This record gives sequence, C-alpha cells and structure tokens, in this order.
Amino acid sequence: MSQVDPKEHSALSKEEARWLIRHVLPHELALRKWLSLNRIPGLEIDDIVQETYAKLIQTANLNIVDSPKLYMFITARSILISHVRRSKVVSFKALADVDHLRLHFDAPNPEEQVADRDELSRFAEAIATLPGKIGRAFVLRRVQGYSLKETAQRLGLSESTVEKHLRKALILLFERFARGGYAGQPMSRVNAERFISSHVQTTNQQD
Amino acid sequence: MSRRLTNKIDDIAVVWISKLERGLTEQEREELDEWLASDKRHFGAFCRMRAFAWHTERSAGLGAKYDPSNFRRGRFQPSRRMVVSGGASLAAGLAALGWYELLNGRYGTRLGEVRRIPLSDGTIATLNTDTTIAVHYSQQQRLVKLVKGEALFDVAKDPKRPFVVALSDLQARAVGTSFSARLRDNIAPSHVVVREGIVEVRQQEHPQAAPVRLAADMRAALGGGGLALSTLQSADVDRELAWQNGRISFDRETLAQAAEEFARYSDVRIIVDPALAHEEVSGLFPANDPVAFGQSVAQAFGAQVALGDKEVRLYR
Repeated sequence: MSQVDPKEHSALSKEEARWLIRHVLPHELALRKWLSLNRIPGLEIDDIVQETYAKLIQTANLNIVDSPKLYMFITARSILISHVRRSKVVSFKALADVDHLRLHFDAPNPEEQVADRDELSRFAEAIATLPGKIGRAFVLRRVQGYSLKETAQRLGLSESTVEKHLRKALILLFERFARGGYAGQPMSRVNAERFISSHVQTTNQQD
Repeated sequence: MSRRLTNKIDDIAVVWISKLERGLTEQEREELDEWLASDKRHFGAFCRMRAFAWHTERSAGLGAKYDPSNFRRGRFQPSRRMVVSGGASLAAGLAALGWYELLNGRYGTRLGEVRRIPLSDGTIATLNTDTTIAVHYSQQQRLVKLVKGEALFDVAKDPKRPFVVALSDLQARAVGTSFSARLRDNIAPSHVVVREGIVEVRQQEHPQAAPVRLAADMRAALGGGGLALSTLQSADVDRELAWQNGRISFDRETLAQAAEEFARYSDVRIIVDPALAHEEVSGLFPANDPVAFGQSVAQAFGAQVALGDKEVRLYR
C-alpha cells in the first residue's frame, strides 16, 4: 500500500476543487433561489445543496461537462425528485410539479464576468470585512504565510484559539464569496430546455 | 438576504479541514472516512469547504504589504462602472504596480509588473514581468502572439474558435482551459505548462507534425532534442505560476540561478560572490523585493549583504 500524506485526502483532488470554485460555487446562490421557489415541505435547501456537491464530485469525468451550471441544476433537480419519490408524505401533485420544473438561465453580464474573476481584489475586500482577531489571524497565517505557531505567538493566543479564528474566517469568507454570484457560460433558454427534457427522459428510465 | 449559506454540517467539515491541514493521525483519518461515508451531505459539505479553503490560499498573492484597512467599506469600492470604463483597471487589487496602456491589441508589462488583462471573449491573460502579447482575434481562431516574456491564459470556452498562443518556436492550441507559456530566455527554454484541461502543442518549424497533447499538470519544453514532456506535481504547477501573485518560487535552485531569476523582475541586480554561488535556496519570495531576498539569504547562509545603487551584493 502506498503511503498516505497526512495532509491530503482522496475525497477531492485539487483539480476537482478548482472546478467547483470556478464553475459551481458562483451559481450556488442562484441554485438556492431556485430551490426556494420550488420548496418541498420537509426538505432543507442546505441538504440538497450539499448532496449536489457530493454528486457532482462523484461524476466520473468533470471535463466533459459542457455547461456546469446547467449540470448543477439538473443534478439538484434529480436529487430533489429522488427525495420526493422516497417520501410517502408528499402528495402526488407535488411530484408532478417537480417533474415540470423549468430551469431558467439568464445570459451572463460580461462586465460582471470580468469583474468577478479578478479574485485577488475580491480577497482584498473580503478579508478587510473580517472582524478583529479573526481578520488578524487570517492575514498573518494566509496572506503573510506565518506558521500556525508564529501566528499564535504574534497574537498572544493559543494555537487552538487561532485555529478556531481561522475556521471562523473560512466560514465568513465562504458566505461572502458564495454570495458574490456571477454568471457563467451563456446558454440560450431554448437550448437549456431541450437539454433538460432529453436528460429527464433518461433519468426516468433509470428510476 | 442574510440567511446563512452554511449549517452545522459545514461547521464540522471545517473542523476536519483544519485538522487535515495540520496532518491527520491514522485514527483521525479513519474517523474522517467514516464521517464522510455516513452521509452524502457530509461528503458534499467537505468537498465544498475544502475546495474553498484551497481557494483562500490565493490570498497569499496579496503580499506581505497588504493592509486590510485600505480596503474597508467606503475607502475602496470599485463600482461596476469604474471596472468597465477603466478597462483593465480592475486589476487594481494587484496593481499598486502601474502599467502602460494598450495600443492596437498589444498589451505589455514593465519590469516587475504583473497584470491581468480581460480579453473580449472573456479569456483572462495574466502577464508576468517584462512581457508583451499581441492579440489577433478573427472568426476562425483567437490568436495571441507571445512577443516577449511569460503569460498565463485562462481561456474562455469557444469550440468554434480555438485559442492559439504562438511563440517564436512553439504553438499551443486550446479550446477552454488554463495554461501558461514562457518564451525562451537565458534562464529557461520556451515551455508550456497546463493547469487545467487539454492543450495541443507543436513546434513552429514542424507545422505538419502531429501535435503533442498535454493534460493538466503537464509541461512541454523545447530543448535541443525537440519537445520534452514532464508531469508535475500540482504543487510544482502552483510554484511555476507563483509569479501571478507577485512571487518567485525556488526549489533548491542555486543562488546564482536565483539572482538571474530576480533580474527578470527588477533592474536591481543581485551579485553573488562565487563562494556562495552554489548554495541552494528554496522558498517563496516577493518578486519585486530583491533587497529582502538578499537579506534573508544572507541570514540563512551567514553571509554579508551590501546594498549599493541598483545592486545587492552577497559575500562571505
């Protein structure tokens, strides 16, 4: 058996991580909005979103996904449907409604696309919103590259407290970036619907 | 809308991620595997937060001089309008650096400058120090000539118009991907490094020969014996591209080589005493600060450093 790097985990490669950040995270907010418009009682939006990420990463070859945004919505939709089918509580009508969900895609605004891809200035602004010691810990550790130990010494805190601040920083930055919402690949509505209807048929046959 | 986008599962995932960054014991690894396998949501939350945690490492590119107070609300608020009218001025995050304007699809950087340029198709070209590119887009293809230096291309997908980067001796062709190209100089031969996707590379002098296909994390360099391919660790790719964040990365390079590399970024020369020239240096350094490099090297090797006009001398 090959040796395992204690700082790595096979669940996610760097390439997959980049793909998620580039193609999926920017659309998470839109996905949540869409899920909230098609709310199924007893199903949490967070659950669907997390499962969607899981399913996307389990997809064999992400490189062949042509429109990640559409793929993400279709995946979320199939998760939604399988939950509805499993649940005995939901009425047949709700199921029918889900089956007729329409996905709507707005063409991206090119200005936004460019602006939001300038990640470094996004980081500069986002980090500046981190409060007090959380912000100072993040700047020392991640921007200036001090080790955990050095960061702790400089702040006069224990390493475990610094780690706690860094975790908080990660959550706060995530909330901010995920809200940054920028559109991705353009796709006309007609194409989107054609794609979906063909996909839905295959899904139904599998079920 | 202020509802949180993360929940308790994400909080747990983030705890695992910080443990992972510290290094997992065997027992912790088993516990993590168990946690990941027990619920799809756990696995999804882990991937989502781990991807983002990696992404935040990019903020190292802000450099040691980054001061959050300059970016607080009200003081630095780039409006969409400013971004549009200023063209590339949105590179502001990087560029207290400064750069000159473009003429007829030619873009350039001065010594020590790194600049991000959004092209009309959504592709982002990031130019390293002392680099010039010429952009020729047509209906059939998107051609960019690397006239001088080194650049990274995050290519927007357009299956109908391939994206081609031409160096004097190499040609790299892609549809939608991320790769860098460096024109040969006195330090390195012309080469192409692929960060994402697939790139086809061919020699300019053999335009009819079948191209070589490079996948992510591969490098093709043109040496005396033709194209040499190698596979890099992801970390090496990140190191190769450290310049886009204003850094230079060394992995056991000699001081003499390091001094040459610094010369690409500023007109301050690092002069290394022959007695020190073969010492090896590793680490990530701000590209625009040869003085700081000289000082930390001097400290590491117990050497002396003398600062002159436009030069940093290292000696024992």
